[in-house]
Amino acid sequence: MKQRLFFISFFILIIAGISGAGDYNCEKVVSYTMNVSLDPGTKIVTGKEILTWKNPSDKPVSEMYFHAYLNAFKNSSSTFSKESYYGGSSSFLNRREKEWGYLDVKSIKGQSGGLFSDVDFKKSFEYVHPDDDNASDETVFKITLPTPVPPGKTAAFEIEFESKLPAKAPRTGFKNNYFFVAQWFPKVGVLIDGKWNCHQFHRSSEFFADYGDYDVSITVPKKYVVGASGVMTDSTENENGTATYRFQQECIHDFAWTAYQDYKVATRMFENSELPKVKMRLLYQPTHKKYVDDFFDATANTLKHYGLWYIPYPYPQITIIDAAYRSSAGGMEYPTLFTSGARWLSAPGTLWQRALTMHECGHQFWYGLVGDNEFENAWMDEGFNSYSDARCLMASYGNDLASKTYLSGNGFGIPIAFPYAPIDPRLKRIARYGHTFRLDSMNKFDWQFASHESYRANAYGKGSAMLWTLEGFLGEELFAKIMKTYATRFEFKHPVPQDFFNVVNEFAPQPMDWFFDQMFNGSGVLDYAVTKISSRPVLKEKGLYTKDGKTEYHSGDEKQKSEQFESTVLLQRLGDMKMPVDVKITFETGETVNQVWDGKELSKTLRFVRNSKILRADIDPERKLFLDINYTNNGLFRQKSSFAALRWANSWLYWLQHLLEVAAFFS
Amino acid sequence: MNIMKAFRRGYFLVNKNIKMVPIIYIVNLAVATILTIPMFATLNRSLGARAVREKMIQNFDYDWWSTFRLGANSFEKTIRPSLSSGFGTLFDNLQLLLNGKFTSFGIWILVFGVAYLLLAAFMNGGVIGIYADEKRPFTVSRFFSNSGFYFHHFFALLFAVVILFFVVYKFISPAIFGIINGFSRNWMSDRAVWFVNLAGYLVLLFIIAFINMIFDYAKIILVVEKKKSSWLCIWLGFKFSVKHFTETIGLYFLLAAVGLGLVLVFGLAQTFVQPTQIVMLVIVITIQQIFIFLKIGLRLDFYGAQMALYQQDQSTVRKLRKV
Ligand SMILES: [Zn+2]
Repeated sequence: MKQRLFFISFFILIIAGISGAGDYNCEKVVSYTMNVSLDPGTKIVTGKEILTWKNPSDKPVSEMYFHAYLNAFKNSSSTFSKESYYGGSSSFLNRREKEWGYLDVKSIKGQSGGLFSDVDFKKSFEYVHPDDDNASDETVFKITLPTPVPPGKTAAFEIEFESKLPAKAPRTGFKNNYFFVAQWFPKVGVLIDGKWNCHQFHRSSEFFADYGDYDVSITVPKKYVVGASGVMTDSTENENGTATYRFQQECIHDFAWTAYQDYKVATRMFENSELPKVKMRLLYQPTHKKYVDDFFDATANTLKHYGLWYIPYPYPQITIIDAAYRSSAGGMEYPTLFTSGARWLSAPGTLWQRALTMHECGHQFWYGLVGDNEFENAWMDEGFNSYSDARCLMASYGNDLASKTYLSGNGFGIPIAFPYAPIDPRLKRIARYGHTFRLDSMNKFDWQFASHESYRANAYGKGSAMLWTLEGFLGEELFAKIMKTYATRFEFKHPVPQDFFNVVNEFAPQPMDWFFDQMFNGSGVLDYAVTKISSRPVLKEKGLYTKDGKTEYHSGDEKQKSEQFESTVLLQRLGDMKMPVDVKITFETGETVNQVWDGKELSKTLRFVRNSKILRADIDPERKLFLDINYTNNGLFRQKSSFAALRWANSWLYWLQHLLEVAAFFS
Repeated sequence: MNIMKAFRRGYFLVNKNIKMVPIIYIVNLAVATILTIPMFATLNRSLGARAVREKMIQNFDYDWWSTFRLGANSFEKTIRPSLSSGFGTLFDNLQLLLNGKFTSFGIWILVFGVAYLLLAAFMNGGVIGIYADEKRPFTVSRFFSNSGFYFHHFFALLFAVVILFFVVYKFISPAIFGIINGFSRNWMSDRAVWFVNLAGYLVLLFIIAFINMIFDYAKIILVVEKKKSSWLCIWLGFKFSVKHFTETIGLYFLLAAVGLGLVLVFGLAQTFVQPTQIVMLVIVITIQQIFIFLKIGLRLDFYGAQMALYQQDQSTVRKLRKV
């Protein structure tokens, strides 16, 4: 079997080398060839890894940094455990001995015949903690090289490792005989400007790695269905009741896989005349058959819209995993594979399940293809993706509905949707996080935010609101160009915030640094309001007037053809962020006046003299500035009307009457 | 003993003394209105002049709400999207019966709920007293004098029932779901976990209904048999409920099914009529108030029908004794 595998891999490598080189315009820094096998009894993946690493910098490198992410789940002393516990979430720590996980690097040597042929690096192996002073954290290790790797040269390492999967840990682990294997192998950090960028595993953070080729052979018991990053290029049944599946993919920056006996499998082709074909492979839970169409539909819509708006999805396959119930693996992205989820019972009309699929599939673009550093600039994938998935959701399905799950908890719940409470997908994340916008500026590493919620507010909420605001400010067409250019330019690269700002400045009619300075470096809270509005009859001449030396009395009773009114509108800036805003004034005759206020002062009073009274005044009537944390105060009528209040007070009265009768149940 | 006969007789008793329903209805409306007035004022401050009022006339504006609730105090926080749905409004309350989280709407709602509970216990004496002596014509003064006459007994029963339900929500319910969670935590099928929890809720619902029923019969026996001890009546209520288990529980669930039917019909009716104009609002208010009226009528029907069942049984016993 081994010989056959060798032959096939050799053959495929040649084919891939020939056909792949031109397909992906990516700088391959790493190449991983792994042979791993899963023991479902012990929950251990044993593996051999050959890592080839090319020094991408112009400086010699004498140390290598690696991630050992699974050690985050080794004990309560890891940085992840501590951040979770002191951040108020200790549920992870309630586990038995067999439920902890770890990554044990058994040996690490220079590959025979290579730069460090047969050098044993275990001697210089050392856990380090570049982000904090937690000496107990084992999620990053380094080795010291006997001689530096010169710029542009390649070093190859042979690593033997044992990955004990944790039970239901964030994004990875096992549940019974369900396995989701992610962040599981010794993975080299990213060298930027001659320095290692290799962060520890944090509670509020995701990942970062270089692009390259993965060739992974996975051995599992025969009855297991396996899904993985890349494309399955070979499968072999072994004599000992196991099977080996080989997955390969060029130009990706991570590799995850899953194995489970009860997965159901479905495949469909994504086809669009302007985009390359993609095979969609879905592994779903037996109770979720009714969502198969939704999974495919949401994935296809994402590949289509993101593909046309930004960059085409270049890989031949995408694997969709409907993660097992209560496995903690649902809702996560990996290159060419993502996890979504569903509940067997859902409220008709709600979009959460398709929205989740879209979001995770969307990460194939913002994270997968445009490979920002998720540790340091989470908004560059979460914010970009939240903006894009809302756009995609609107283009595909329209508004979502508010819903509530009754008696939820313990695995139960009766979901009910409220058809008269629609939710604009663009606003969902802002509605959820807007109130915490003041807590931090966006310009922080993920684990440095004041709280996990603030991390989410800045990465998802503020990040997407910033893009919606830019789109509103610059116009849809121009902004589409900016996004497409940015995506194309930074495909297979590691952009930083300034890279995006530069693209915006390249296209915007004026430099937008004033915007990014406030938004990205400042706390970036924007809130404009119309706070007063009135119309009064124009003051008539009354009293004594002297004209040409003659004083005459005006009584104020003189009749005019039509009465004139002076209307005033008080605009206020309640947030610290300054931005030009559109102002729309509507008079009772239907006449409208549109103005732009530069928004710099704390307030501005507008005055108009018309022969009709003012009806209403609105700041940002077309809602371009999604960063406005309180849109409710943006529009004001001159005259009150109690109907809306009456309508909802009545609904409330009815609810309360019924509640009282429920109380009477106990009488 | 015949469930349908008791059911019909209950309907007859409610109908014959129908004037009691508006009395209780007015009390209900009055108590609810006390809190609705400040709620209306708050909503009017937030919506009266703001442009968002236009959206709030059409739909429940999620965006407005996400801002409103941040500034809302105490019971104002109970403005929520489910109020936009005829079902949501009712399910929010029915959920309380099963999860027992009576503080979830805040302290003021709890205070008003308790106040109404005491009022309801007070008026129960009037209701059951009238039904027990239905040959005499109904008068308002008789209703209230009965209420006053039985109140100390009914208050004692209320005290007992509160303690029992405290035990149910604090200990029995967590025990049921603790057991369920214990064995289903690692199940792979969300559907199987869902159904086993449903079974748990059905058990809980049964326990709640059974306690409620025992106390209904306790009140009925207290009045019908002119007993002096409320504690004895709890025992007699329990004995009667168990002895005629199929009839008592059958009647109880028949009445509960009528209640569920009302919830479904009126919940559905409101999904078709949205109060976006004054005329529609008037129609919606009418539908809602009819529902509350019928809901109160049904609560009285529980007493009427269950009393009829009890009296049927007693007359059989008496006949047997005579023989
Ligand atoms: Zn995401």
